This record gives sequence, C-alpha cells and structure tokens, in this order.
Amino acid sequence: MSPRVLAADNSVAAGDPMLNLVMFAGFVTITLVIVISASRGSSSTADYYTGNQGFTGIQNGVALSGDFLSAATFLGIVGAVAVYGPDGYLFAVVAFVAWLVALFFVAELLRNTGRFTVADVLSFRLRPRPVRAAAATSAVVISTLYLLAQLAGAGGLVALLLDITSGTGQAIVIAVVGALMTAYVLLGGMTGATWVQIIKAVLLLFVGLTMAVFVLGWHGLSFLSLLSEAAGEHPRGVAVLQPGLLYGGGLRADLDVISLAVGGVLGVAGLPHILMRFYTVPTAREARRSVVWAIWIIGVFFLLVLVLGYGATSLVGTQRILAAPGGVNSAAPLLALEIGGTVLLAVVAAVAFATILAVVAGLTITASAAVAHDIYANFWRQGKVDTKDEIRVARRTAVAIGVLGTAGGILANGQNIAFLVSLTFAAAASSNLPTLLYSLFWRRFNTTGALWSIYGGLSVTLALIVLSPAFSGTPRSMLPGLDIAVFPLSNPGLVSVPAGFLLGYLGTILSSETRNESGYAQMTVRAMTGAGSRRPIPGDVTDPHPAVRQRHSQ
Amino acid sequence: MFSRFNGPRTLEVGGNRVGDPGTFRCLIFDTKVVDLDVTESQSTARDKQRPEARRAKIRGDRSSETPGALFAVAQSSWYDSPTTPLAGFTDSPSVNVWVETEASAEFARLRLRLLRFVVPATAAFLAWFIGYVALGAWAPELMGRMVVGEVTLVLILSVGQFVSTFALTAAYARYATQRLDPLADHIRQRLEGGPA
Repeated sequence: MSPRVLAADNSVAAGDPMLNLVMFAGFVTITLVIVISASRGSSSTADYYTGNQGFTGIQNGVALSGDFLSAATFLGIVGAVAVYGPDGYLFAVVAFVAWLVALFFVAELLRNTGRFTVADVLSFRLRPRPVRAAAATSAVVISTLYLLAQLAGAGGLVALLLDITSGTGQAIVIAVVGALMTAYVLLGGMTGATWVQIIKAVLLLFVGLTMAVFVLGWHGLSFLSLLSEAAGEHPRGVAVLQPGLLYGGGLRADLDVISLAVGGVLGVAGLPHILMRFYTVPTAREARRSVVWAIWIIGVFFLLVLVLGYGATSLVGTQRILAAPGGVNSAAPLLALEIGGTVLLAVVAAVAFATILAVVAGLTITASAAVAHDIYANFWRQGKVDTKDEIRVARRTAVAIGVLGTAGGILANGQNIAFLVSLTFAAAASSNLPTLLYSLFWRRFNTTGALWSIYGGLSVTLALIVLSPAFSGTPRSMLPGLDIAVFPLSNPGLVSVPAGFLLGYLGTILSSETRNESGYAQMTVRAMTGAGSRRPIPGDVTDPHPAVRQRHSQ
Repeated sequence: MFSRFNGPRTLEVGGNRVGDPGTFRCLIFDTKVVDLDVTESQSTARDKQRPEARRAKIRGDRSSETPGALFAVAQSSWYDSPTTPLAGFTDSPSVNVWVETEASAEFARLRLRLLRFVVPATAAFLAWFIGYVALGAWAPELMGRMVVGEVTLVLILSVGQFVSTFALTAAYARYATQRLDPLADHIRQRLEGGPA
C-alpha cells in the first residue's frame, strides 16, 4: 500500500487522538517521577535556580539543545522547509550559527563571574541595584514574550493532534499545559526543568533521526532523489529548491531578511533562559563543553530537519500541509503519520507537547529567578534576605508567571504572533548582548551605559515592532484593522541592535560617573581565569561578590 | 600542558632583588616572547609560606622550539605592573590582588590569546554568514543555480554554514584546551594559593 493511499483516509490527519493523549500522559508521568526523585531534599536557592551546579557539561549541553529546540523550531522549520524551501530553512541557519557567539564570548565568562542570573555578572563593576533592576526587567520581559509565543502556538498543535477544534477545548488544554509547567518548576526547580529538558531532547533527536532515516529510505537513501521528488510534488516545482518563496522581492523585503538574520545571530547569546543554563554546571570548562555539545546536537538536528522538510514536501504534499488545522506546523506530524502510522504520530505529538512543556518550564524558572534573586533579594531587600524567603518569592513568582502566561496564551491563541519569536531574539540582541559584551570587554563601561543599553535596547525593539507591519497595517498583521506601521520592516534587528550598542556607548561616554577600576579588574580576572568562583582568594581585600559571601555562609 | 613540556624550572634572577614584583620578558632568538613571572612577594602573606614562590619561574612557551635558547633576560620589573608600588614591600591589605593580577603581563597574555582567536573567528563567520544571507536576498538567480543534480547553490551554502560552524567550534575547543586553559589555571592557582 502506497503511503499516499493511507493518508487519503486521514485528510484532517488527527491520527488517533486517544493514543496521542496516552503517549503524552506517559511522558508527563515518567518525567514527574524523575523530577520528584531528582530534586528530593533540595531546599537552597542554588538548588532551585541552578540545580546546585550539579550537572555535567554533556547533560547541560543536551538540556541547552532541548531549551533551544522549541516546538516552534521543530514543527515550524520542518513546515517552513516543506512549503518555502531554502527561505524556510534560513531561520535554522541563523539560529544555529548564533551559537558561536555564545561559545566565544559568553558561556565561560558568564559561568566564571555569576551565580544565578546575568545581573550577577554586571554587578561586579557597575552599581548593583540599578543594573540588577534593569537586567531583571529585560529577563522578565523577554522570557514572558517567549513564553506567550510558545503557549499560544500550543493551540494549533492541540487542534491538530488531539482533534480539539473548539476554542474552549483548546483553552483547557493550554491551561493544563500551563499548570503542568508550573508543577515541574515548583516541584523540581532547575534540577527538574533540566531533567525534563534532557529527556525531551533525547526523544526529539531520536524521533528526528528515525523519521529522517525513513524519509531517506523511501528515496533510495539518496538526498538527490529526495530533492527531485520534492520539486516534483511542490506546486512551484524547482522553486522549492531556490530562494525567493518566502522572502525577497524588493529592497524592503531584502532588508527584512538581513534584519531577521542580524537579530537572530546575535540574539541567542542574550536569551535569558539560555544564559541561565550556564550556571547549572560547576566550571567554565564544563560550560564550554555544554555549548560544544549543544552545537553538535542542534546542528545535527537541524540537518535532519532539512531532510524532514523536503520529505514532507515529497511524501505529504504542500497542499495537504497548508490545509491541515495547524497549517505549516502540521508538516512534521503529517509526515510521521505518513511514514510510521498513528503510533509514530503519537510519539511526535507527545514529543511536541513535551517540548512546549519543557521550554516554558525553563522560561518560568528564568523569570522567577530574575524577580526573586535580582529584584526581591538584591534590589528590594539589598541582600538581607534568607534562603527560605527568597525561594518562597521565587515560587510565588513562578505561579504568577504561569497564570499570566497561560492566560496570555489563551487570549493570543490563534493570533498571528509568529513575530514574537523573532522579537524576543531581537530584544535579547539589542539589550542583553551589548550590555554583557561591554561589561566583559570594555574597561570604560559604566552603570549609565548599562542602563541605556538595557532599557534603551529593549524600548527601541518593542517600539519598532509595534510600529512594524507585523503588528498592524497589513491583512497578515496581528491587528489588521489598525495602521500605525511607520517602520517598514517586520524584524527590528537591523536597527535595534546597532541602537542598543550605540546607546550603551553614548551612555558611558556622556556620563560623568567615575570608573570602577578595581571592580573591572576583579570581574575580568575572574571571568577569564575562574579564580574565586570555587574557592576564596587569600589576600582578597575587596568586598567579595555576594556570590562568594553567600557560598561561605551557607 | 606546556609546563610539562619544558619542565618547570626555577631561576634566581641575578641582579634583581628577590621580591621585586612583576614579570620579566625574555626574548628567544627575537622571535618568541616568554614571560618570567616573579611572584609578587609583597602582595600577600601566603607567599611567605611558600619561599619557592619568591624565585622566578621560567615557564617556556609550549610553542617555542628552543626552550634553552634564552639569550636575553630583559625588561624592567615595574613596567608590567604599574599599579604595584615598587617600594611597597608591605603586607598592606590595601593592595588589591585583582588589580594586580589584571595588570600583570601573564593576564594580558591570556586576554590577548583569547581575543586573538575569537575576534578574527567572529569577524570571519559573521562576514560569511551575512554574505550568505545577502546573496540569497540580492542574487537569487545565482543562489538558485543547480550545481549537482538538482542541488542548488543556496542549499550547498546552507549546509556550508553548518560545516563552518562545526569546524570553528572544534577549533575553538581545541585552542582553548591547549592555549587558554593552562595559562588560566596558572593564574587562578597563583591567586588561590596552590593547585585545587
């Protein structure tokens, strides 16, 4: 029986919703058991925020790739390749190459100088209270927007996989996902979130590999014949192998692509939930190892995605993908149904749900750490706070963010909020990255510069996206009825990233703040050598970083 | 580990008061610069417990082919550590070990080594990446040209981005292990007062 005949019986392609549900429930049960047993007896802030730095580089590398390969990247890019060819694949290339910035400039230096949050790094040499408030603000804003994008995307997935098409039904499923995510965070903290992430990443890689082998097997193990089959099935023929189906056509569209690329390539190394992962390992060398592992896993997975995307074009067909309930996102599930029947579809469905769950759990931890550690413990109480108190605030924040994110996800369900993902990348590239790089490498950088680059970069990015055609003015906008689109590009990166760097520079040179030479010396020596991150420095007369002080008082 | 390569050797630097802080720069056949670290004895009390630390240690650079071919021991001791008062042979707690280390030639070398790799590597991969994106935007015909069978140039360059990223990752991991870690460990151990 040819695969296409099989597929014809399942035109909506829900597979077997019961089986999908059972598979997902199985994943949730297993991970909950692991989360509870892994986090038994953990009660310190270090346990909650970073799993007490107890992960190895490999474990954290797998978890990093899990954090990064969200449902949007897996389902979205497979579908984008299937429908738009190389233009759809561009985002994978952008997001992958971006890891080099994290490897070269951020991972090790961050691990050596911080403990829980990005703000730890900045507060070595800048005035701690204002920069903590600023860094926490950007972490919360970026993480919440990312969270919203993930949860809202769950709606389409639910429709496709569980055959739930009513708005109420989808809202209930989003609420269940939100509640589960909050449960993981409350029960397991970072340890729990990391194990969920590891399990999910391994499953995702395994599923991707299996499907890619099937797809290639179907085409005589030849990538060349896969491409010609795909071109044969696509309504635009060989155009699916060439650029131009999604982007391009006019200067504005071309600049938009460049803008997407700039925001994306510099954004990864500034995403708060990725940065926080570097604190779950004990040393800078393990942090480096985790990025190296993450790069290999993500790279291999994205190469598989190319095969899966063209496999979906060839075996499922563009029309059916676009007609399915989840649109472009349905390419991977439909391909699974095609090659492995309802069982493989159920596995892919469970992995996709697991992905949403794990990624939102990581985002929730990040945002709650920013609020509890930076804003409550250090900004509000100025460090005079005990562990129990801080964790209580972190947990409450996690619940609040869970509720807000879920409510937002339900409201945004079905909206065209795809721009939110590129917005979060651009925001990270325009606010967090300039601040981090200046702080680590520019001797003259000061508090004013940091505040300008964080708040300024964030505001410019948000303003540009509100004024862009992604938000209003075109039929495909989020608010099609409104037209305030004065900024021509949908991706703000091309303007907002230079703006973030420029603001950090101007803020620094225009302020009369005196330089903190010894703070800079301490930060840079710690960053590059790891001195003092595990042991105290004899003869260190400077006021030690709160991290060190806390570690010894514990 | 480079120190194992040449074997760490200690040397009393003639004509130089023991206790002079700073770093001596040695030239090997005019091509290779290695640093002689004189542990700054006035900086911390812990040096008193380790008299051998008062001796200058020659640590040959791993890449130097002729470790024994030192022909010049030169350069002033105060030159490399401007923040360290020459006359300050005190255990005064006002001396900041971080400022001192940051100003040391060894640390400058570590920073230089890091930047010497990551800055050109970043410039190269960003140029190659932006070039790839720009070609797709402004030369779609060229990028759509089929090279092997129906494999188009854009697909080849896309996979090429992956290959170059893998290569740079492996190269950096190797460079960091061989060239950065030993130096960083040395500085860290000196600050922390002995190997971990």
